Amino acid sequence: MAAVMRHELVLKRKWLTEKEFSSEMSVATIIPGAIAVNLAYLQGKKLKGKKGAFSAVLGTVLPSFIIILIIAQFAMPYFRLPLVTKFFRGCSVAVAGLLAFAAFTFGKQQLKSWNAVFVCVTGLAIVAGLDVHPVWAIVTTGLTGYILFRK
Amino acid sequence: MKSLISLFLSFIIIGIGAYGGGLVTIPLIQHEIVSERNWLRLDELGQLFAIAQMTPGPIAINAATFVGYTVNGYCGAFTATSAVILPSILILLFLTHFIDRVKNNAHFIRFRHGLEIGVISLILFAVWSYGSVTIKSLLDLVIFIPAFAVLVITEGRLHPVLVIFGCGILGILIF
Repeated sequence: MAAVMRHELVLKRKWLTEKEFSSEMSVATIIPGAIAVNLAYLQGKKLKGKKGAFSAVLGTVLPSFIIILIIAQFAMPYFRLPLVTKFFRGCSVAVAGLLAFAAFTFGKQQLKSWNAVFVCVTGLAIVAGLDVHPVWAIVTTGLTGYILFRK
Repeated sequence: MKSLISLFLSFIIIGIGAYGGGLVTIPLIQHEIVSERNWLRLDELGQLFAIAQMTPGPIAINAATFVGYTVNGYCGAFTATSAVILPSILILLFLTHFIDRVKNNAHFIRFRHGLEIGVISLILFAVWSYGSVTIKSLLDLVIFIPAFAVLVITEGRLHPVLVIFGCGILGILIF
């Protein structure tokens, strides 16, 4: 998604410089929520103020919204067909594979010290061991990270 | 009306918690939509994630529109989709200057480092919680292992949509 945006805004339209784009990308990833939406807001705002921000967000959200509505309305009745059920069962397993791969890649990038492993295990213990909302695991790891990562 | 309010609240929480990209939304949605509210069955959740990955756009948006429509038609789709983007819009509207100032602050960077590792905790948990309900038989494992292996071997250069689609075809053949 970020690559498509960079192509459109920096290379094709030349609305933003490479540097402005990467600075905005870093803010977009700090803020919770879909990164594409955050990036659209920031870039729209830079170009045309609040109006630009809202049009850019609308432009990012609308295609997914419409495509999903079309699928939900017209394709859902066919989801009960045995052939389609089998197809989706295969797809669902693939999503588990994607999750495992994401855990593997992020883990390899980030878990390079015992402190990092400890923070990760703390988060895992909270989300798996306590019956609380998963958001609390992220908050706790943020705080644990704050305490442990001194430099 | 009551279901619209609960949709709104659930997706506000998902919007706040979706920190660090699409895959983190998976455990959050599983928790909110399946475990807490019983809006979707687990096999429907699997379908939703497969569709969300195969169609363009952020997973959180796709999921919000899909769940909203299933629960309460067009109104539901609109409510859930607006709710999921509302937290980031509000933060961007009021806190952009603040974030510009703190983003290079040493204290903030430490906290953020922790957050990024928390994202791994959540994904690891999702591998377990989502995986244990999706992989129920040996046949499921026959799909899971090659899917994971292909991703690791190609170092993720193979597009996820191709992997999902391939596994779907495999599913038709073996189930």
